[in-house]
Amino acid sequence: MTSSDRDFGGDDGGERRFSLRGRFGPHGLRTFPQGALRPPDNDSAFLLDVHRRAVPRERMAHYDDSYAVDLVIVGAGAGGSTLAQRLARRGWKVVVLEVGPFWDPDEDWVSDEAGAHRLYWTEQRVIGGQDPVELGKNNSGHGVGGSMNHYAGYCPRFHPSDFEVRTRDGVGQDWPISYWDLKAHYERLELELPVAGDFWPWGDPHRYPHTAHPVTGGAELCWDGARKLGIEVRVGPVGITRPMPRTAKAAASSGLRSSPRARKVWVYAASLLQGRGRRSNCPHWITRRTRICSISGVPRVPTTAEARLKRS
Amino acid sequence: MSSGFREPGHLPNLRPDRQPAHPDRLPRQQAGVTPQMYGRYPEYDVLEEAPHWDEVTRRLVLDRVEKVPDIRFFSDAEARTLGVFCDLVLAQDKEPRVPVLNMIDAKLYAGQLDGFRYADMPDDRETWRRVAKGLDAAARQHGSQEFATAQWTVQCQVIEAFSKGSLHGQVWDELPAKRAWSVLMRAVLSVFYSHPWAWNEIGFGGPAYPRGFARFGVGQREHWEGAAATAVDPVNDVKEQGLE
Repeated sequence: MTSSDRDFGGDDGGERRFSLRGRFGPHGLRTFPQGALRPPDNDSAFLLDVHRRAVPRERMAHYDDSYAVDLVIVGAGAGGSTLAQRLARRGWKVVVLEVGPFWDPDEDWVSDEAGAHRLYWTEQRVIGGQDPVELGKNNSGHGVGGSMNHYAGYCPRFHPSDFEVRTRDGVGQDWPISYWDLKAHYERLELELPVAGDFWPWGDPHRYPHTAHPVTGGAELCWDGARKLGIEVRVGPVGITRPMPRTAKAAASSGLRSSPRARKVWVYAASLLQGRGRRSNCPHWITRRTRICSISGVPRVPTTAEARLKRS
Repeated sequence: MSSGFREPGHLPNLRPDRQPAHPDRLPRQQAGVTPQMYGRYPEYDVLEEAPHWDEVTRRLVLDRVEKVPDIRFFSDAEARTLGVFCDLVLAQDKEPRVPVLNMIDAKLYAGQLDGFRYADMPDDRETWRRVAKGLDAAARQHGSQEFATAQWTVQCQVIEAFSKGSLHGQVWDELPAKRAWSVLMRAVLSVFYSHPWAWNEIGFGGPAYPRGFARFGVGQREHWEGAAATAVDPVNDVKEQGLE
């Protein structure tokens, strides 16, 4: 694997329209002057309008029904749509079929559990057998985005032993691949989403690009109890930006948009990366510890997006 | 069931049927509406927070209160039986009541189901209809004409038996009662707790978008959330009063 291969979407046959100067670390990813990992540009994120949560469909290209394609993917969920994106970047012509609607989050989504019912795919499934497992109604999703439409963002990696349950525990089947085959992909996606979570000491110890989110009262009680019993607790990884610069790494990578809902508060790591600029607005602890940026309640396009807009 | 303190209904030993105490002793709701107008958070009305919700959510939640759907799926007889059933399992014994059956009826009419069923069960819509028949049949076994007009004690016995799967007779020999119970209760509870009046009762903050939550810790509440008027722990209280 070459270093440019590790760059998601970067290697698209000269179609990449801009690049930022930066150093490359041993992992092949660009680094900030201070050494933090900087996510490579995710061009899809910048398709979104700053003030709307919907995909701006009026700006999408339209094709004739007779257009010849290389591949048809059934289902525009997490797997199908990502596959389509990656193949399109490599020049494939892909069609994705989706049975549900193309949601407009501003119009179709509500902040209400019962009202979110229509995001679920509720075609009837029949459960039976000796010991039927009762399903939830939210087992899968409906519409473009699939179950990601009601996904809480939990993204743990598999434990390396999960791939050998037959050998180790005598149940299920072993996987034909190992954790180590997937590791590079995990790292790539965790950076792109990006994922926020505690350092993970189990299995293959790893950290996440963003620092962990705060936990709720219920989780706090659970944590307390576990501590009393001597059980190690870590805040699980979620694919939700955490614009809270405990370290420069966390703040630096949060210029990426991921969850549209998490866009409300942005830390923008603009020209401030050198430790200059708007430091005067910063709370003292941020300037002292990270020399990065200010926290603004106003959504603002990060510089990478601005550069892209100017060029396009 | 009596209301207020003028009659001795609030004293468990003096109640005519010697049933457990009614939670009349909880404070009366001052702001907004709760089922039966008592609640733990008397000065909290979640609907006052409506301006903080996004437009689509606000329309959806306010419609639950303002536009109660008519019964379209159930027949009159079924609605009578099941309406009594819903109010009884939710202990809604006086107005204002959350219109649970109307909301369930609208879901069933629209075919909004949970997306799965057990192999030995009919479609959820059919389950509701059969249960309505079965409850009436069970009430007749106790000498009543129908479930809705049966004695309160008879209704309770039937429901108790239904929940334990120990009903017998034509309908119940073909329908696994415990699974039917789970189908009904899933719907009843999710509909009840989607209603803002129930949110007032339990002090739930309601929709969180776009405002969000800032105070996560144990014992903390957002500035707009209501304070509890009593420190009674319901878990212990239920045990002490023998309500389990």
